[in-house]
Amino acid sequence: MPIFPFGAARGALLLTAMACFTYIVYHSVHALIDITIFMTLSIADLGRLYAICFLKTICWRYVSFYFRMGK
Amino acid sequence: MSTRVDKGSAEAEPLSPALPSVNPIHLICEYPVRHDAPLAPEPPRKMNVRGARSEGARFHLFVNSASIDPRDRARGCSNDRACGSAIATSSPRDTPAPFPASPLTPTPTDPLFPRQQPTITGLFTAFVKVNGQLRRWYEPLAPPNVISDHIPDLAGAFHATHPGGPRGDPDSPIDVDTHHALVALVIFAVAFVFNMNAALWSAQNNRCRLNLQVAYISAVAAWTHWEMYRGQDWYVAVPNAGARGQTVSFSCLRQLEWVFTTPILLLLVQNLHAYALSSLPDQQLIEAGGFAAKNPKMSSGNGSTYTPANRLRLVLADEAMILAGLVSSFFIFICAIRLTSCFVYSSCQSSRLAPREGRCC
Repeated sequence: MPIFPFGAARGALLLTAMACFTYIVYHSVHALIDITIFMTLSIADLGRLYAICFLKTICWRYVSFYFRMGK
Repeated sequence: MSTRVDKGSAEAEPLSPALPSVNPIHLICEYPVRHDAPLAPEPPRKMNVRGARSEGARFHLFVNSASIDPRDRARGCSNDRACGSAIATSSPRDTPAPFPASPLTPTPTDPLFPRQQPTITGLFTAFVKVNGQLRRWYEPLAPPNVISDHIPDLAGAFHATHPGGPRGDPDSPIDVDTHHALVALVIFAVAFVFNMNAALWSAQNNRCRLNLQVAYISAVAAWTHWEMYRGQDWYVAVPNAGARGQTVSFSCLRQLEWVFTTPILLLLVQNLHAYALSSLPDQQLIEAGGFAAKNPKMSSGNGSTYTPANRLRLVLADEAMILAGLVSSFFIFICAIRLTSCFVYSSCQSSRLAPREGRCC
């Protein structure tokens, strides 16, 4: 069985993965925005929150390093 | 009947002792909330001869309550250790209840709390074991010279990354450099120590859980980079699997790290959301919690428009995304760029719009 399918199977996997990705990113971003707007946290927790936002933002770019395809 | 209500799904479930063993995800992800949470009376314990128990209980309660944040003290029982000590060491008749139990505050008698730390430890152990076992299974199936010492390059050829020397090939675009792995190891190890320290010294049950979850994520990341530093990162390479017959490869260690950590990271955000909103004043809490309990589509109250996600669905979506993305490869890169820019933009907008007056920061 090919690990990396092509054609319709690949399209279905892409759509599935993109739907899941949109779902989880929507909830994460929305929750963080909600916390930012309505929170009653201390300054230390505020710093941790922004650290999480920062890390969650920059860490996504590392995804590209581990999905490399040859020529 | 006592019920356990997930704030996200707002679904009441009967609280049974068998629940954690049925669904282990709940041990980590649930942010247990009891809307009908009366302080459970304990059966009266035996008094010792000198009656030192009640004196010790009062002293312990005094010491713990002295360290409570004034906002927490105003809520009455959000300091779970203090409340827990009060419950555990004094009789129900002696326990004063000046404030009702907050509907969004987990009770100290929740059976999930004592099991969380062993579960997190078990998850970390499972990560280490699964990585080692998969590596052993894949070794006989892999193309020669792929495991550990060799990684495939962009042309599909395999070459040694550290032939008898230091690990990591600086010319390879996909290998993790030794120094990068070491720096990441140090960073995550420090984060682990900080969060364990914060969890051990935290006076609140909720904060302790958050710190433990971050400590778990840091521990898994530190172990991953320790393996990379030792040259134990292993790649699954599939020759002729690309559209034009290329070799396709990915770091299985990295994938396992994501499989084990990203669900907890997503749940951490949900828990952080619940924790942040649980620090609202009592009246708002009661209104929000009571209304949300009766209306599943209701937001968290106080103007919040976000309805927390069903946590099990969130975890399943994350695992499905990793699996489907692993199989069909490159889509994440494109999505990541677009959604990262959206995330930065929305964070900047929300920071600009956030009302600061009246907040205790």
